Amino acid sequence: MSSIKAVRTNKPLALQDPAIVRWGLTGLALAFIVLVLFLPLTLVFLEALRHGAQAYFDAIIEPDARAAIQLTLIVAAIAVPLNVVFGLAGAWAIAKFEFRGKSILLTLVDLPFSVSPVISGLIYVLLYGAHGWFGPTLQEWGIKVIFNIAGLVLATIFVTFPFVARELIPLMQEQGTEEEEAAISLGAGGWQTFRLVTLPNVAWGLLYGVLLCNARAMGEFGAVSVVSGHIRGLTNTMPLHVEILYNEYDFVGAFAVASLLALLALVTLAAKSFLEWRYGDRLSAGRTH
Amino acid sequence: MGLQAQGIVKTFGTFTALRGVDIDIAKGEFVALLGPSGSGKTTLLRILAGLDAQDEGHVLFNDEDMTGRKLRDRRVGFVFQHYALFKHMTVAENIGFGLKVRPREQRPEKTEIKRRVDELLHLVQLDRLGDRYPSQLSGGQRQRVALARALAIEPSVLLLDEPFGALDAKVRKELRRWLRRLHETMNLTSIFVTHDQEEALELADKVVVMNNGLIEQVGTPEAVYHKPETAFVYEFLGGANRVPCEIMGGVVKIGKTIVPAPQATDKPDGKGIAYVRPEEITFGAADGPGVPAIVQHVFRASPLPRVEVQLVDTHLSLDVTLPPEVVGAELAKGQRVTVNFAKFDVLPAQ
Repeated sequence: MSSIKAVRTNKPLALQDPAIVRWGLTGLALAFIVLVLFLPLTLVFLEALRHGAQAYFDAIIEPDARAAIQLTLIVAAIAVPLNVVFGLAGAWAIAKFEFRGKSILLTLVDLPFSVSPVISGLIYVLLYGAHGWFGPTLQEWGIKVIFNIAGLVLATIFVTFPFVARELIPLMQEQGTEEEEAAISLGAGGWQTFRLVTLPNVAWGLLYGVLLCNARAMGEFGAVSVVSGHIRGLTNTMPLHVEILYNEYDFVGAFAVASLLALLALVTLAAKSFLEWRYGDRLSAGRTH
Repeated sequence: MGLQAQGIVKTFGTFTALRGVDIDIAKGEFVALLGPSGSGKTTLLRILAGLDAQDEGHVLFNDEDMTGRKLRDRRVGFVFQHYALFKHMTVAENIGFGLKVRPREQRPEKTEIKRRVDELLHLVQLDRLGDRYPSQLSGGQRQRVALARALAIEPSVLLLDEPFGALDAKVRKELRRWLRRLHETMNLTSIFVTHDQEEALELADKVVVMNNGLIEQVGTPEAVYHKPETAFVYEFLGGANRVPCEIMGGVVKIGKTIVPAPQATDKPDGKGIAYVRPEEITFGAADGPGVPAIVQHVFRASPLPRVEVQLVDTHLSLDVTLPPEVVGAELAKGQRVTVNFAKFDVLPAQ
């Protein structure tokens, strides 16, 4: 009977529970967000600015910090474009074609998500380290991978590999292959079809994938930590630099660099929201059938 | 352009979609591939277009084998069931796509492309909608954009996959007539896939009835409707009643009633199926000659009243359509009648 009564009121069903339940649940969710997300994020900035703006900027322009920032940017600048290419190629193959071993490829794409980043780093040490499989040979040729930027890039590519592909595969699968077939039947070649039809259709997913991939590439700690060797001013990325400073009780320095990483996350989110707001019309025009 | 398929076989994993299909289409013909879902009609269309590759057999355009040839060389205009319009392009960009992607030396000037697009927009009666996006169009309008896009490449043959499948009944009728006219004025060779027999019979010069990966019958709409060659065609076209019977020389026995059947003299004695269309059944008085039956329902709310009767002996239900003057007001549920078959065909039961 109560359900019949409920239907007669104009309130949506979700608003018909007793006030204590509604406010209780809302409060719980809010408390959770404040405690787990908002407070820690605020604390990063508060700690960084504890001794004033001057100390903050000094910590950031200090040579080792600048080197770490530079290195992080370089690693991301190499890893992200490469993963865009790999992710696009992988998603295109998996979503648009039928072939033997497709499920294996899909599992391989997911592998970096399921493997602990530390293990990923260790694998590279075992392969390319001084006593690894290829290490000695590479050393003869004068190529140094581990404790060098090459190792950092490799480890970062591995860890961030799934982001672009994972974002694109469901999108491409949902879109099917009809538009591509239409393009081909109209005489377009493979590259034209990809450039003019497939790519514009996944542009938004791709952008989102790139943002996520970039955030992770800059923030990655575990795998990078193993292959880096923690050489100050040379092979330290920002997250590693934060850890070193923190272990040395240089809290302002640690949180100042950490705040830059946190800022990156906020900028990423803001950029995404802005693009969605600015080009939302085209987004919805593209999504509806 | 003449178009032939010879011995086409196509399997998907363990499923055989086509089991050796031959088809011969002359220039200028308007052909319907008609069959239930899973009959292989769309697969055949896709193979003709070159979107799928056959496992065995050959596709010939003007006696030239197209196996392994690129789609670009086939010059096939393909209209997809769900139109497959490019969502991120305007209507004009969609239509001009086939011209824009041509190799540089064959590509028309930008102004020429625009002229052609305007021409096609006019042809499909969408003159002022060139700047719209596909999501802003109705189903019928999208369908016409898809057609214009396919026609832009001046195809040698136009292939349409369930062209009216996603449209409501009224739009469907209009578009059908319009497509027929377009086919004639543009001198096209067109093939379309449909599971709607009315559409196939009304629109096509030639109907290819398919079932289970094979062609059951090819012929004019009149031929496949009035002279079906197989049990399947009988059942699929025109909704014939299927009456189990006993073939005994020149007669068939339906329940306890013997019905003369001179058309069944060449059929072997034994179990058979009589196929009789709803409009070829007449009613007689309850004590007259014919198969005794009881009226179950009378539907008067249609141009031709429909009556459902049940045979007394076998409890088989038959659909009957009658001229309105025959049904009259007195025919009612529960009434005893006899049914007579003005025309029917008998095939041995499988």
